[in-house]
Amino acid sequence: MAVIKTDHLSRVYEDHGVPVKAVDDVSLSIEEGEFTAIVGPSGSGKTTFLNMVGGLDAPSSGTIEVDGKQISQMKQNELIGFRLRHIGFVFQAYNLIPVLTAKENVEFIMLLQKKSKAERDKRATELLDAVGLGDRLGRRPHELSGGQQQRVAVARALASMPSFVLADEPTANLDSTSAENLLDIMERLNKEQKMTFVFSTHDPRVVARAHRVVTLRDGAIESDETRS
Amino acid sequence: MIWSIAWRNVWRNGKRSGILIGAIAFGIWAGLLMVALMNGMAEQQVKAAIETRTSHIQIHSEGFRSHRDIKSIIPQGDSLLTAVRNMDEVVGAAERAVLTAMASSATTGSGIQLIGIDPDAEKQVTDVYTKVIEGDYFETKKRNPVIIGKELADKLGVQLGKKIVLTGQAKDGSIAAGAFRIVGIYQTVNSMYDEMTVFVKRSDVAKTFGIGDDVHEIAIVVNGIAAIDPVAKTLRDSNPSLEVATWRNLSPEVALTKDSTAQMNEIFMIVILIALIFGITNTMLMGVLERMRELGVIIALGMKHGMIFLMVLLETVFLSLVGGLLGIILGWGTVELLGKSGIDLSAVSSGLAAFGMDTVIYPQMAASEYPVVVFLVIITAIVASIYPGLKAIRLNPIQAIRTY
Ligand SMILES: Nc1ncnc2c1ncn2[C@@H]1O[C@H](COP(=O)(O)OP(=O)(O)O)[C@@H](O)[C@H]1O
Ligand SMILES: [Mg+2]
Repeated sequence: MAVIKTDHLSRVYEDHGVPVKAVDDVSLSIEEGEFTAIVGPSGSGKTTFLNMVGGLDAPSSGTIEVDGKQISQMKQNELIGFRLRHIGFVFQAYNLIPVLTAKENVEFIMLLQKKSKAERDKRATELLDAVGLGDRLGRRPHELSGGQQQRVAVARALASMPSFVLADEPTANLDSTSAENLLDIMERLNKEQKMTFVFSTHDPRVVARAHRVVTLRDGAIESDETRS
Repeated sequence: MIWSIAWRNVWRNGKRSGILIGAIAFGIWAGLLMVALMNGMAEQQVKAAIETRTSHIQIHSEGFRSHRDIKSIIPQGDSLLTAVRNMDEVVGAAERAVLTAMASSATTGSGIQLIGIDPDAEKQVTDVYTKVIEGDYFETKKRNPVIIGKELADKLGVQLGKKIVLTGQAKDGSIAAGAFRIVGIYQTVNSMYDEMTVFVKRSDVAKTFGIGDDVHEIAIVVNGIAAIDPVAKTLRDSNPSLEVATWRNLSPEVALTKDSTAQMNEIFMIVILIALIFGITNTMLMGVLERMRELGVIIALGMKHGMIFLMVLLETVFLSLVGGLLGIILGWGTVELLGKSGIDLSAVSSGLAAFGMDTVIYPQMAASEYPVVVFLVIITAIVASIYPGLKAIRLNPIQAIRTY
């Protein structure tokens, strides 16, 4: 079953009165368990696409179906709840709440979901173990490296038991070792936990790790290749 | 966790929070001290007025207080006095003869209020006997003793032991006069009263002005402020032909001062809190704007608007309460300290005494006022958090998160 399905999806911005097609007629289907990269040069529409799929931005035309539900028609309030239950987010930077420890950051999302203390505790510990930070539970973000912070963000994204994880340039601020390391972890979680990952990047080494690569140019799909 | 995020956020920018906490603490401290000072002043005025001048209640015949006619007496004054003294709430009562008269020395004269008293009974209702600074309160056995205020003594140019002549209209309409020897000089906080009020024994007034045992005034002290109105009502009901006045009627200017002080204090505190609202709002707004990205992220993750608002609100309340409680503790300490030692305003306030005020003020604050201030600080914080809270809610996450 497709977890994400977009149909003739477009997003037009006004730039000083001139319409800019940030995303242009994108019809794409992403199946459960995929490990897909959205690639393309800066300004090609990756962020805009991911924001719409994540329910953060509304399409100008076309539709988005997530977990079989039309999200393009949802109201603001409804969308907030939908994001919380269905989608895991990893952003490029500033993911974590600085005053909370690594473990509290992971627990935070489960708290919003009103999970019990015991469950939060167990799952946060497990996930931080899984991303190799089992010994850093009590650290605050500023006591962690950039790579470690992104791993906490990945752990948090999984904590809410989403249908898929959207990661917009998660490695953009990392050195190559940390980037490789983060990709290793994401790939392992994809394999072991069957978690669907959709991430954007313009780093060729990261692109090389993806199982499917969707290339955007000027907001439109230029190519879509699946590797075995 | 929302609570702990809010609490930890307070301390994130320690310097900025510290400055605001200091400002709030100072504002509350200064406000409390000011209010306590005003309270103290008003209460001392009330206390001085009651204890030295008006007592709690006075009884006169109808109209006496306005025309002061020597013939306007309280009929059967002695039996009324006995009845009053027998009331449960009454602690002390005394009868007086009150005449308008003229006091003269060899050089000059001055219009006065001549009060004929029974010294022992009088001690139960006024504390003038404790204000005698030279001589004594009718203890020295002399013929025709008189006690005058310091102000009048200075005006007439007389000293203790000297004689003055008291002249006035006798009951039969003739002009009567008598020579009286100064056995005591008193000084209260109210120099106008000291210049106007002269005490002699009631028996001496009777002889000089031919009024026998006529009584013009009965002064009463009851066992607490709360008993004043009930006792006054009972007396009014049982003596419809007499005028029963409480200290509020007798000294309306002091009553007004007390009431308006309470109102002024409220306004003063509200003005301080409103000023604080702007400071708090400003600081919180800076905090919210500084945290756009992380707020954007948590909105994106799926935190409801209500929760975001609550987070900002809690942070504001915590921040304000830290400052507020600090200010209250400091204010409480200062008020307690100065409430015992008093603040001497004599250097700046030579005029105060003319208005019946002490020059040493004892700030005072009822313990029940402090929780009210805590409550007001919380309200202030909530009001101050509205704008930054709305700002946080209205944040567009995609713009906040954008990294280009
Ligand atoms: N809020 C906006 N207002 C105007 N133009 C925008 C806005 N957001 C994105 N764009 C434009 O849309 C295009 C795609 O941007 P974006 O989705 O950020 O691309 P990418 O993430 O691939 O770099 C760019 O030309 C960008 O300038
Ligand atoms: Mg981008």
